[in-house]
Amino acid sequence: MRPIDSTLSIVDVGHGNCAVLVDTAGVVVIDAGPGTALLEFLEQEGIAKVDVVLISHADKDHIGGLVALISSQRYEVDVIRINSDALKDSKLWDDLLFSLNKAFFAGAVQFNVSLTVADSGRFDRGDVHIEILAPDLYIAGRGPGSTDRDGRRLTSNSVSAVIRLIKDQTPIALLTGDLDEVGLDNLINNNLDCRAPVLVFPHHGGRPGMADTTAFTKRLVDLVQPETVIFSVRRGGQNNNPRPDIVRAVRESLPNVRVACTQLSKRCAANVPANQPTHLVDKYADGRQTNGCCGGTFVINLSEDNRPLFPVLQDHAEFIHANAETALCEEPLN
Amino acid sequence: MSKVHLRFATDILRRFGEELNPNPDQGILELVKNAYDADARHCTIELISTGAPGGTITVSDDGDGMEESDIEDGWLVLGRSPKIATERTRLGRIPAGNKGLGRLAALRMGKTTSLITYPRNDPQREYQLLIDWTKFAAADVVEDVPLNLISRSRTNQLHHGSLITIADVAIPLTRTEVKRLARGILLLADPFGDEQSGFHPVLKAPEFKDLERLVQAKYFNDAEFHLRVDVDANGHASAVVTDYRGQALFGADHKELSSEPIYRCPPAEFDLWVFILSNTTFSSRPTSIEEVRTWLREFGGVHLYLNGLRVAPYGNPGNDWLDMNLHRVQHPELRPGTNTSIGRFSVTDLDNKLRQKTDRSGIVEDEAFNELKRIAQDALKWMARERLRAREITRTKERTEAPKDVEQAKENLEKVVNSLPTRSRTRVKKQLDQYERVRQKETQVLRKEVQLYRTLGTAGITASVFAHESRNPIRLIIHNAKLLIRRAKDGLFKRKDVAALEQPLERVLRQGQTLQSFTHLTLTLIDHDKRRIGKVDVHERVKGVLQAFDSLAKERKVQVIPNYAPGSPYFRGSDAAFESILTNLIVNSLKAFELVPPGPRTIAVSTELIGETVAIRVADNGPGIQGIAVKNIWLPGETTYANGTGLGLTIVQDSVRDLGGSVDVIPKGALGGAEFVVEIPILGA
Amino acid sequence: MALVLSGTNIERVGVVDDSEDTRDTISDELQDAQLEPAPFDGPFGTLNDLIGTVAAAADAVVCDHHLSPRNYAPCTGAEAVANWYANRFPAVLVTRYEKAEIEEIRKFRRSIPSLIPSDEANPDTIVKGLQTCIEEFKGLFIPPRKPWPNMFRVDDIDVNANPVQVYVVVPGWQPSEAIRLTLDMFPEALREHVKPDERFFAVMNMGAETQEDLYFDNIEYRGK
Repeated sequence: MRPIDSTLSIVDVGHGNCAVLVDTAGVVVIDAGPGTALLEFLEQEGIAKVDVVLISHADKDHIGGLVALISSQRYEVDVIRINSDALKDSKLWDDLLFSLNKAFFAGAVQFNVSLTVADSGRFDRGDVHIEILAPDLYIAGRGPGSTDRDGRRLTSNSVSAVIRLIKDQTPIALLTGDLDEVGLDNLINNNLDCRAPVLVFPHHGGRPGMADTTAFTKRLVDLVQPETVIFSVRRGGQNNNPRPDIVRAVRESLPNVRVACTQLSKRCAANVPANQPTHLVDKYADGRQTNGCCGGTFVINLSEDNRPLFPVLQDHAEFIHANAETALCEEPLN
Repeated sequence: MSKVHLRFATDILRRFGEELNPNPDQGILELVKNAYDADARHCTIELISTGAPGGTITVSDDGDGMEESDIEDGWLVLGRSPKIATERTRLGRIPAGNKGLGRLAALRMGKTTSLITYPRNDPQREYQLLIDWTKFAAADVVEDVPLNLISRSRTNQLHHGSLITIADVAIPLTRTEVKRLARGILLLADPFGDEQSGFHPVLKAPEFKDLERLVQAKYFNDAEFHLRVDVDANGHASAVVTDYRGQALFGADHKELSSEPIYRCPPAEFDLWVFILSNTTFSSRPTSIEEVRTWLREFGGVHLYLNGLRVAPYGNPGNDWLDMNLHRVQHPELRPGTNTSIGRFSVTDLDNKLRQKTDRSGIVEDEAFNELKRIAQDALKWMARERLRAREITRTKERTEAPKDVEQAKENLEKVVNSLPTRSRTRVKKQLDQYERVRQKETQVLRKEVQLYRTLGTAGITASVFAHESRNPIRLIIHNAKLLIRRAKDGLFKRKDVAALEQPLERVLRQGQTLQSFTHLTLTLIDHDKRRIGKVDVHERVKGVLQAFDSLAKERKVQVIPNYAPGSPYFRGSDAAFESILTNLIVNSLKAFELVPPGPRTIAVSTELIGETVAIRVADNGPGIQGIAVKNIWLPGETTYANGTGLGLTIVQDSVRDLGGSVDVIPKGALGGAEFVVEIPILGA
Repeated sequence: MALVLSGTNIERVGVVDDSEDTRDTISDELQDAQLEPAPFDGPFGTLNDLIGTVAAAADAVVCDHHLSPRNYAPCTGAEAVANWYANRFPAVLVTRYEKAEIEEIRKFRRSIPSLIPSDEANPDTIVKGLQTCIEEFKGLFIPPRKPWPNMFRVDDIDVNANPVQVYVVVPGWQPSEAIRLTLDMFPEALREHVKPDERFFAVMNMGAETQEDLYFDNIEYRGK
């Protein structure tokens, strides 16, 4: 086991979300990502026990990752919270219940289907205060498939949990799951403080439901006022995230923002670098095997007052200049 | 008052010519008909480079040619109705005649047209006319363009005829148009090419060699049977019936043909080509049934040639001097009629036994002539018997296997009919017979369809075997190509490392050749000639299949050992049916070997004559019949292979039945593995 | 001519394939990779014969999957490579990636670290393949090969096919993709439980990129 600083890692899991908070009294995982990325990350970090797993919303891809985590039988898990039972009658749900039942560590797990504003603070494991800013009780109660107060349809993305991490009363980061326009509106209506220096953009920088992407983006970054916006994306894939119009809207709204992606989009570089990059943080990153990382796994060192974000801007920018001829984060805006 | 004339703008040439006759082949055909009307014996139509613009068409003949008046008042006059059709030509032909507008269109196909003619009636002179159509385009009215008819004295006074040259043809001739031209020529030509009085047009079209050949070959290849009878100077006859490829099916000596010891007539040769004009028979052929029907309507029936000269009216449309149509009515399936056959009786009569009637309406019908008729009638009767015998061999098998319930139903029906009052009984019986006939026809049609699908099924199975096999050669070719590219990039060739280049290329070549041999068999299986009914020479076909599988067997390290009985057994059927049987059995053996550990692999193919049948055995030293009950191997869809179709043995069994034979399996046969025995009734050895 | 791959000396590499031209092609590739090819003409009467002869005469082997058509060996290449793997003899399997093959290979996939498509066997892929194999012997797995205990669910079963096909879903890998297995991959004692909606545990390479690469080892049944 290596000496562990308190850290928040935004893990490069390819197309998916995964954040791992290593705090003084425990480990909290927010979204499990697809495949084995989280498993590899935990193994590399020497973590054998995950105290809390929070799943921001119940959809196929997110539940799958949780099933993999439990069924791997390598990591003890104490508490699991999924924010809705939208998948309740599906075979996948049964797969989850089965693995909770039959996987060896699963006996003592506290498993609950509920993750709302009412749970703020319930999952703190050390110095970091975990605030649940969404969904509120109303829309959580209504659930996906139903409608909100304004009669708009709620999808599982609309009721995505939005989680803000705060230490010493200073916000660290905002994790937004796959929040869409309806969810954002409800969030804004509740007049909560959503500001944070690091924003993990919803839905991997892809289309937020039916909304006008530029308007959505501007409203969100206005609300959060981040210094850094992270896109957790996979190189290639059908959608080729992040969308250029979203990146553009972010940079137009926040002239000094740092835009950072976990993997290197094909839009930014037609080919991956021939040599292994040297700027990446020394933690598991899914894109590493194929040299497909851009920022790779991002780590915020919480033990230092200024909460530095790694890889640092300078090293990352050097990499981008050398390898990403058409980088979206460097495009001239006019 | 002033004298004016009705005049024609030059445009009218186009209107009467090309616009009225848009098909160039029709125009050229009119030129050919002109040659026929001029009593030409030979006419050569030559297409030179007509596949592209700027070609040349020439029509030359050895007819009577034209004198000045013929040209001025005939050839150059357009639009006049032809003379009355009954006035025959010098050679007795009914002129085809025409208004000349088609001719106009043909002549206008090129920029210039030249006519050179050597009139028979004026051996001293020849005439030449050159028409430059561009001059007409430049003029206002037709009358404004003068044409110079040049008259010259002739050196060669024996030759007569005309030569028309259409030069610089603007629009290329399409294949369809040349095809139509070829067909039209065919219908004008004498089918037997009689030099003396017949019309002998020849098409020279190097770009369309196959159509050229069509005009030469006519439709004899589409006949089902060819009967040939030879009567020698002693009045002894012998006959043979061959299939369309010339392979003998039935043969007879004098005793089998005639009850009397000799034929009392001069030596003769009788050829008859018999056609079966049904849609199913023609379905897979390039010639259409309509074409053949039209040709037979024109030329069908038996023509009589006495000492090389054709004697009318024998073989003319409507003439049935051998009473063929009468017999056909009685036995439509076994007797040819004048519309379904074409033949020639060639008699060498040096003693004048056959005398022509004074009015030239035929031959005096005394003994010599009647004996000729008897030859034909005896031969036709014999042929019908042989065809019946061949059919019955197959039908007997079918009858014995007719499902019991059909037989039972028939019996019950007969009982009911017999219990009816006499008057209605006869009527009902008649209707039932008619119904039975119609149903049997339907069954035959269906049977033919089934056979077609069966051979396609075999072609499919074989194709999939070879497609599977082809993957390896293809992969090797690609692999070696990549290897060579990489080596080229690494500069190996610069260093002149010959071996590094040579060996991969040799592998590419070898694998390419293996691929070729694989595709060859599959393609020959679907060749339409293979599906035609004809003589099937068992040993030749077995050799053919074994040869086609040779490279595959070598690849799989399988030894194939053939063993042929003495003689050449044969039967009447289609090559495709027989080949599918053997192909499927061999494919089966090859597959079976994959289930056993490495070791010597052998397939033994042998033939044996047993009475009136040939037994073909395919035995291997594979695992035998495993994992499936022996009686079930014939069922469609039953397979013990992961990707098998389960159709191979079903096809074998059905094809064998179609040939009137039987097939059986010995689960552990001569070599230790499965042994299949196919027995087929033969016509001869 | 020799290479040191992950600390192991590789000089002679056997070539096992039932087609002579293919053996020669692969031999050429090995030469270009600075290795000494050792093609085997066969035939081999038993699996053990093949395993032993090659292991005694070479340091590693490139083996084709199809060995039976041309009267060469009584087993498949997958089986042979798995055997060599068990004996820590570096082996690479060459395959045409046809559907029927994938199933045959999957049975042994846990022991087949490298699969090379037949027309892509070149110095790079062969050396990389041998290297991956040698690393696995040391317990070092690349993420797409790393074994993870996990669960799967039976989605459908086709008893009419030969061999019987079992379609399974691995939710932790891809919840919406059905993977085709054959019934004989399940231990005999468990086959009665192989029915739709039944769930099993197994060791699988959850990091596999495509379903062709997935192996299912140590299948266990723990009840409903």
